[in-house]
Amino acid sequence: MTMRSVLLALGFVAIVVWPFLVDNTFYTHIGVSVWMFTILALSMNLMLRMGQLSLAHGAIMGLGAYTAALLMLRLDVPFLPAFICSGLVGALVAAITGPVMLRVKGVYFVLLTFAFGEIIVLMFIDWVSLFGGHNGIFGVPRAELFGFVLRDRSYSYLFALGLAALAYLILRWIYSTETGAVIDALHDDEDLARSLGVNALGYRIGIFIVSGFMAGIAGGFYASYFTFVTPESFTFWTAVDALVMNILGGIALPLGAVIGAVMLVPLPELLRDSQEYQILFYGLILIFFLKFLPDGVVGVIKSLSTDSSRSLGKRFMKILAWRQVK
Amino acid sequence: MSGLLEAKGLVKRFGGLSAVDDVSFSTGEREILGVIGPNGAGKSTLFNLITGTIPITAGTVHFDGKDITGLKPEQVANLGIVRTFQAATVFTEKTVQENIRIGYQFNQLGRPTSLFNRRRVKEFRRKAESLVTEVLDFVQLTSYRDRAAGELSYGRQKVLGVAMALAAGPRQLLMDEPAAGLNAVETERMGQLIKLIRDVKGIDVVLVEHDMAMVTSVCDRILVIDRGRLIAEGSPEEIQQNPDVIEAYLGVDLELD
Repeated sequence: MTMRSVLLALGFVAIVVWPFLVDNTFYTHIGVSVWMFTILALSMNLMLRMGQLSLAHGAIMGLGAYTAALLMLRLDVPFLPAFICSGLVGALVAAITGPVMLRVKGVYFVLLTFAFGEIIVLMFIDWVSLFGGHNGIFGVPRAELFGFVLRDRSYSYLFALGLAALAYLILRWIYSTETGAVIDALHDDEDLARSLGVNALGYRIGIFIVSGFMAGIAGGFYASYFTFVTPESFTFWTAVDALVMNILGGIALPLGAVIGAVMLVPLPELLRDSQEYQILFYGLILIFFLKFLPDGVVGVIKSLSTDSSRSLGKRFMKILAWRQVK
Repeated sequence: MSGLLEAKGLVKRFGGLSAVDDVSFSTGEREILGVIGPNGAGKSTLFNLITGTIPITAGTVHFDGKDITGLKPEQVANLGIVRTFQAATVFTEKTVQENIRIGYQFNQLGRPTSLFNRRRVKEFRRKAESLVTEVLDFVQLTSYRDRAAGELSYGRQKVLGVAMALAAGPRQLLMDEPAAGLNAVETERMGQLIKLIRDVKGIDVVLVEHDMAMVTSVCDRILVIDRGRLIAEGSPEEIQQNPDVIEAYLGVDLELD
């Protein structure tokens, strides 16, 4: 056993048990939010890795949330099938819209997904009889797994952590297989990839479907955890949050999405008393990262672990050079 | 003997401009066919039409007797027509061997649905290792196996680009300016590699090129294109003596090295 694996094991145990030791519902709630948004950030990571920034992911998460809420409330579907359906709806939306939206790239795709997401949110607001308008849907039953209702927040925490861990492992697995090579190739040089025989659109759709499923699952969890669903939670700002998490953490590894969620999600909760500074703080952090750490926290870890002195030195020189130019 | 690729009456118009104007040609079996012409003559456009990168205005392309007009680039590649690019196009962050493996993978598992075919994926993984070794050896990049492609010299990156195309298992290779950006020694080596591809691998080659010395030393037959039109066709010797070609492309005071 190396020092590293001991530390990793200890860290893992700490992440699992702290809510039971601290026993503070507010902190536990932040923990639940962190892992829930980790799922969304990971689903966004899939899109970013193949070079397609989607602003519809907040809305897709919303579709998942409303799906779970409506199935459980209106049709008395038990939690687990409703929860899985929330993912399936996310996947279905991706499968239907993907063949159209994924034909365009860059800023056009961003705008298209933005418009699509806003249409979904408007649908939540204006189709009052089904989605309940601005008031949304209240009284969604809590998650119930094999007859055990997750009433206690600590158990919701474990559930969210388990889902996030699963999503993380799935992403790690995808990136390590042949699909990962295609995803990188689509990002780096699509013409080259296609000239060698890759069905680029097909792969993009496939990845969008997996990503949509994960966003839908995040929504399904949301519905049962908060027990209410409102349209404001799923605007394009939610997608922007997921994007910023990836930028802060670093897009290169799925771990970046996790780190980004851990950094970003607690902010609004912890800064609740000074809301006027919250956006400012958020903006400053973002500027700092984009300017000095464009590869996010993961980029820093990477440069520390591989020939540290050279790349760190280089980075430092870069910062100095930038100062001098100023 | 006739080859695999046959283009008939190819036309590509961009607005009022005819980039390619009624070009017909066919390849010969085990032939290296050169396409030359001044800048902007429509040589690269011709490749883009054959591989489906841009839509054809008129005309047809047949490959191995099959009409491939209007197919997408990946479909054309899956049928066995693989192209290389003018610039060194490799995945710079991957290692040399990963790049070659990618070339093989993208041909074998080009459709996302093929990933669900476990037998096919297993077969790919089983064969990939030996294929990579073989291709590396063939293009003489074995000693760079684990280097990041981006660290290679420009010339070696271009060779790697050819290696990736070979790994994709082509029956017809289309090479867009294989010597562009290479020095004299690298150009010479590239010429030898192209001949080896034909002689050893038995792959037909069409290449678009500016470097006259290379074209005349490597190609069996040459097409000359000027302003989108095919103005001459023949052996390297015939082309060098054709007055139309000399005027259109080579300049009257021709100096061949």
